[in-house]
Amino acid sequence: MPIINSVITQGGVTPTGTLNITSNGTRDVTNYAEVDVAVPTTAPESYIGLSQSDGNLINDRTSSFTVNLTGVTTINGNSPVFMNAFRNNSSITGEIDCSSITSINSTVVFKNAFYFATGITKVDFSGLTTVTGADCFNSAFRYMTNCLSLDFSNLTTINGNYCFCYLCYNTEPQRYPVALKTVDFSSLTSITGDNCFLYAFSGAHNLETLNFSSLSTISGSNIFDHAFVGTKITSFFMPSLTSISSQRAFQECFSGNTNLTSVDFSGLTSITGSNAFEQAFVRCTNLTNVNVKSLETISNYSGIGAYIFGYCSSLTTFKFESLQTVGKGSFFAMFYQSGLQNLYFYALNPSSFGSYTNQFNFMLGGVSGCTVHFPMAIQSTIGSWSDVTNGFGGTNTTVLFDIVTSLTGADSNTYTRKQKESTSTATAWTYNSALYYTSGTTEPAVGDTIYSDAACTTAVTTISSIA
Amino acid sequence: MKERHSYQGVLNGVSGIWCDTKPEDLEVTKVNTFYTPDEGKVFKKGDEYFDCVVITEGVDIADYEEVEDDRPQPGDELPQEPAPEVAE
Repeated sequence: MPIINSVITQGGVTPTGTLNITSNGTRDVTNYAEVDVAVPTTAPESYIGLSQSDGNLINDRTSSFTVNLTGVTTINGNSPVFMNAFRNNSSITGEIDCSSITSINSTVVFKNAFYFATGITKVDFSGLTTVTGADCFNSAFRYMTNCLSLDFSNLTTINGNYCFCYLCYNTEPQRYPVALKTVDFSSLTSITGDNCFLYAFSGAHNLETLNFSSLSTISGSNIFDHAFVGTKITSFFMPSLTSISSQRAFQECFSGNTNLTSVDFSGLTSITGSNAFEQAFVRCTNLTNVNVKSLETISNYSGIGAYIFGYCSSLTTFKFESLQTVGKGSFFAMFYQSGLQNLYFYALNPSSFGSYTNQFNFMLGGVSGCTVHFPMAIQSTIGSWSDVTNGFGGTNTTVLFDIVTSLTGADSNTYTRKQKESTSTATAWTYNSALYYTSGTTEPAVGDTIYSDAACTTAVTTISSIA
Repeated sequence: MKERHSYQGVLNGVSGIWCDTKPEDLEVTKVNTFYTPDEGKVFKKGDEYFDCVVITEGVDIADYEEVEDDRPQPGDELPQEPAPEVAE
């Protein structure tokens, strides 16, 4: 039984008849209106119908064709079914509808499939929910000069090494300007596989919108290594991602990207992958806002990567609202030569560090005039560490132990700081699982009022002491 | 190399450490001395490299050699997968 049926409709000359491709041979469909492709269901018998040649599914390069894979629902086995199928073929125009495909469980299925297919304007994989298999979409959409969008909006799971690597990678954007503006992975929750998005969008110089908003789990090395270099993305958000244990997961992912202004990892709680963010945002000179408000743990014996925000000259303020556990060399050269002027560690405590292992070594190398704010309670713990007393490698560094982490009210209750719940006009505290607020974002003082609402309209008590 | 200082103390009721410059009203409780290498250089002791040497009990700057810094720098190309051939 065939599990793949593709329909190819020729424009221009009026075609007649149906050609059934079930074995090796020519794939010239010039005079056929439809092509049914039968693929054996049992591995290892491999079907070569649409693959292996260089776009020769359609030999006529002078007419205009549209291609629909509307009969295909599931691809199984280890067949390179569409590998190279439309490669270098400019006679295929318009949108490619692959929306009927719901699952792929095979390797290299679409490898190089649409590579340099310059007439295609959109590729729709909106019905696809799972992809399992190495190299499935490796280099699939490279150099598609007129393709504006890729739709993977219902894809939830990817499992395979190199699965989407080099997806739209463009090594020569001036020679091959590509139109791609939007890529939708908005339902994607899980990625498993080494190098899965390696260089995937690097050089896609018009790419503005990229949606990974549901991604919560990643596993494998170098997953987004160099993935977004040279794009036009201004805001990058992965708010659902909770932990990163993969080595080099985001290595140089935005390296040198001067369009990037904000980054949102607001759901991220731990980074434990070796060199996970090595030079991730180095030389992103317009980056101003980074949200890691839930981040509690940074720890790896080899560090999580150096120069993460190196040379980010517009990055002037950085806040670790929740960071409580810090491992060896966690911050090595993190802000090297950046424009950082204020750095806050709201949640560190005397138990945050274990033994002293140069946790802050060279954190501010090449930075001048930065003020680093710590909780009062950790002065006796870190105040004599050499990487602190030398100003973290910067010049004219000021280290202040000025952050209040708990309050005692006139009601005798103890309120604990909850910085990540703070707003732009009020500082959040918690007592007995409820949130309370003090007005403003400067440190509170004895006598200030504690409110029960973020608008600071309903007073509860006043501060009798701070710590 | 350059000899530098940081000043621990209290200023306007806030405890802290001020590097390189001592505020006029700072109540100093401790002065630290440390050394940083010249541009493009690094301190070396044995097989270990140091971007800074803080003088504490038992630490002598004479035990450190100032050498050229040939460690990888940000922006240096890291090993990467070979790119597929470019379309023609």
